[in-house]
Amino acid sequence: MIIFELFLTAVLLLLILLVLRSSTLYTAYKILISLLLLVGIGFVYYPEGADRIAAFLGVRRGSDLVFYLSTVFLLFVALTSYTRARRMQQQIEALTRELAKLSARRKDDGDAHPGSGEEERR
Amino acid sequence: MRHEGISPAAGSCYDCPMMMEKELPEPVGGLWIAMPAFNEAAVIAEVLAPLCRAGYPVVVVDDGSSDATADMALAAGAVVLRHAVNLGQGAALQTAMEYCLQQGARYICTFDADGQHDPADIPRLFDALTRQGADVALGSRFLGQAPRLPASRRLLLKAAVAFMRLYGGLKLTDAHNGLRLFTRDAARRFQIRQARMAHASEMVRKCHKAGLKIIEVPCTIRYTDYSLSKGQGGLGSINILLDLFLERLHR
Repeated sequence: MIIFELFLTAVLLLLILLVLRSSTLYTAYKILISLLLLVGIGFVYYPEGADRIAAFLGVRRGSDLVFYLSTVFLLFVALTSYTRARRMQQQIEALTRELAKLSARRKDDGDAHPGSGEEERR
Repeated sequence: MRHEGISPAAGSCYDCPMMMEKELPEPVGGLWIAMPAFNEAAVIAEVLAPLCRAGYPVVVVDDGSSDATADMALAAGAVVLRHAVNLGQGAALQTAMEYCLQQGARYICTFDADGQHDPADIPRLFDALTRQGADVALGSRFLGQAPRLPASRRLLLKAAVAFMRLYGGLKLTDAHNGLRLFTRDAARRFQIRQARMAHASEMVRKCHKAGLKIIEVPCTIRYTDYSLSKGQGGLGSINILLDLFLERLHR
């Protein structure tokens, strides 16, 4: 049993390290997620604590509480990454569009004027 | 899928009777043609030929094709813009329309690059638009004709029409027809945000919401094996619905 507890602790500590070293997360998120993971480590050694908090919140078991919370957290992550991907897609669109408009070509221009991308493709 | 009649090398036996040497009338001043194209090297030269010969300024946006679409369009006499990466038809159309506006277009006609439209419909669209004082003229294959329209495609299009009535609050006879004519003012009033195929519904809904006068004009759609192979199937329509749903969710 002690091995499993040590393993869980190691995994959670590693996650905290990864979160703190992340360059894309906001500092507030880093602190929040690290605190949650620390609480997780606490629950590994003191599972009754989770049960007590769960009972206080009206959920029967501590493990259920953890399960519900992680579901909410995952949904939140999915939503933020969707928004971020969408924003990036729109930025790529804008960039590609500007580039296309700048390098408009027609026959009389001559087929290989600089910056048209013609040289690379030939 | 059989690709009858497509022979890029010969470049002349493309299964599209309308291309047979029927000269178009002199183009209206300031009418630009916006044509998104993705991997259409096999047909684009033939699609462009009557338009360029008649003197229409055509903007082709090559949406990151992996074939010689851009070179063929350039040789045929179009202005060619190239997306460095493939963004989707909606995004290509937006680029084409922005460029037309930048060049001072007074009218913008969207025209598909796969050869399904009849160039002779452009003056018809224009006449109807000016006569009825409309801002937007949409081609309708159900008011006009669409020989060889497969039954499954007809059903899908009719479902799209019903959907447009719910989604856009607009009663039309056709949906997702690539032939449209906008006045300059109308084209400036909306931006296509749907990069992929949902742009057709989006555009109509935005025009309707902006209070623009929309009319439908009979047009001819020629279904060739080639254009059918490139069109939207059942799965495509589900994607369109999903895209529109996500857009709504985001507002």
